[in-house]
Amino acid sequence: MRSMLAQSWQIYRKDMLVEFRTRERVVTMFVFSLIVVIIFNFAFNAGADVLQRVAPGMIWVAFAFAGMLSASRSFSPEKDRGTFDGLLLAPIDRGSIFLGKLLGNVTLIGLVQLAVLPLFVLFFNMTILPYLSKLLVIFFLGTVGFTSVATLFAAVAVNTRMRDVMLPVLLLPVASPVLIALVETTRTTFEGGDWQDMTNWIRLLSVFTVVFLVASVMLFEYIVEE
Amino acid sequence: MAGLATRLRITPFGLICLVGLVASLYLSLIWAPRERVMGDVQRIMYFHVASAWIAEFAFVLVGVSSVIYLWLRERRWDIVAYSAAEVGFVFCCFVMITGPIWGKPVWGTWWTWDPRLTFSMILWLIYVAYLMLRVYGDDMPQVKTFLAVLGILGTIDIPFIHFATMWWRGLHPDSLVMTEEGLGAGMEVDMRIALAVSAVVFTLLFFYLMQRRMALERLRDEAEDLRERVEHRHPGTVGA
Amino acid sequence: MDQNFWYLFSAYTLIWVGLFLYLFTIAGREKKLAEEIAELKAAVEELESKEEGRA
Repeated sequence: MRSMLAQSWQIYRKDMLVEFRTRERVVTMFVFSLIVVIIFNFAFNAGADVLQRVAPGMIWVAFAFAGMLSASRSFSPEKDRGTFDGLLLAPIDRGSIFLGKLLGNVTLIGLVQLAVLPLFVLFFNMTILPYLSKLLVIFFLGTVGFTSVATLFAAVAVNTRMRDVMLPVLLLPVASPVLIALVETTRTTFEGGDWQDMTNWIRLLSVFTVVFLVASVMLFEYIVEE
Repeated sequence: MAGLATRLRITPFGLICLVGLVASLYLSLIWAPRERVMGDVQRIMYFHVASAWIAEFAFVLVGVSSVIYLWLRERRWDIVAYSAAEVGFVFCCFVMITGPIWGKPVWGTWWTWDPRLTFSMILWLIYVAYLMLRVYGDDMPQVKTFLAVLGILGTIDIPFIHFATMWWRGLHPDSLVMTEEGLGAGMEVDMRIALAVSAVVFTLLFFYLMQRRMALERLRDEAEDLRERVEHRHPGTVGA
Repeated sequence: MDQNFWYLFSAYTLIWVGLFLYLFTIAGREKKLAEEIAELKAAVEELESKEEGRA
């Protein structure tokens, strides 16, 4: 177990080093999320009250697509350059490759969320400061859950002919419960709701995250075998 | 009729299903009492709910056979999963078609985001994803493994989708109509009998279609095998 | 007659039509494959007999 975590850490460090040199994933995700917000604004063309009601949905649409970008890009360059085979040859547990990739995706999506959320709040004229601690828990749980499935399906989609199209087709239906839960909890929080108002949703988020994290680590081994 | 039966290659088991279908048609359209509030249109329920049961059952079957496939690596379990997915998809389409047709006269609108309809919609999308990966991944050697993974994750997902769609709408009055009439306590005994019969008939029908679909898949393997043998002995003749 | 009759009618008709269409596609695919298999078997036999003749 300890060695597995140490191995994941190595994979994570490698990925972050590559990312730090180019910053291509973070930058594309950030710009992408920003564009989504602006486009949504045009799409609804509504008053502030309506926008505040739909804001949680927009936030999660933007982050879901940014998350898919990150997950997809965590495999496709390695696949194209052939370095992924090298990674598989390394004498480490396959599960730790997955954990490292997942950790990298969660980090990058988290960074983008940190950058984009204040802008959301600014554009839609919402209050965020009193809800920070709740949002932190919700965002963490949801992002880990969503990203585990996203990372697993990205490893599948990268092998298909239509990889960019296949990822959303595979991922979004399966991830829909977690997306529904995220939008609902985020909305409740922004409306000033308490933990008691969303017990069911928090439970769903936690169980989903744990179950799909474990399942993904176990199933990843089958996906990358030759 | 006999001509049609041979053309469709209907087996004795298939004939039993056909008789069962006719019987359940009689039970649900004529024998079962008329529902007081919704009138005759409520009779859609007998086939709608039976189809929904098959759509869900079939996906669980996809999941179970996918687990066995990953474990044993035998092609026949992949065939079971594939056939269950395709036949289950057909029934899921029935749910998606009859749901709005029932909804229009009862709710006054073709579609509402009622928990059950939403659930079926997401399940339908997962079926679509599975079948798309089948078709577009046909040339990949590892596609069967990927499909098994998707089948397993989809099956694990079913309870989550169920709760998410239920809590998402809360206990909307719209959904009470479905809940009460679909499975609820308000149903008369005769209605329940008619529903039970059509559920059993649909289960038989599902297994009949499964059998046909699996036989088809085995034929395809046989053809593939022969094609390779010919190709191997005499390169360049086949497919030219 | 109930004015909702047509909803009931179309729902049941669509299911029956859909069911038989699906059966037809299965039967059609089966037939095509059976023909192809027969052809391929003949081809394999021919090739095998040729090889035997050569040997």
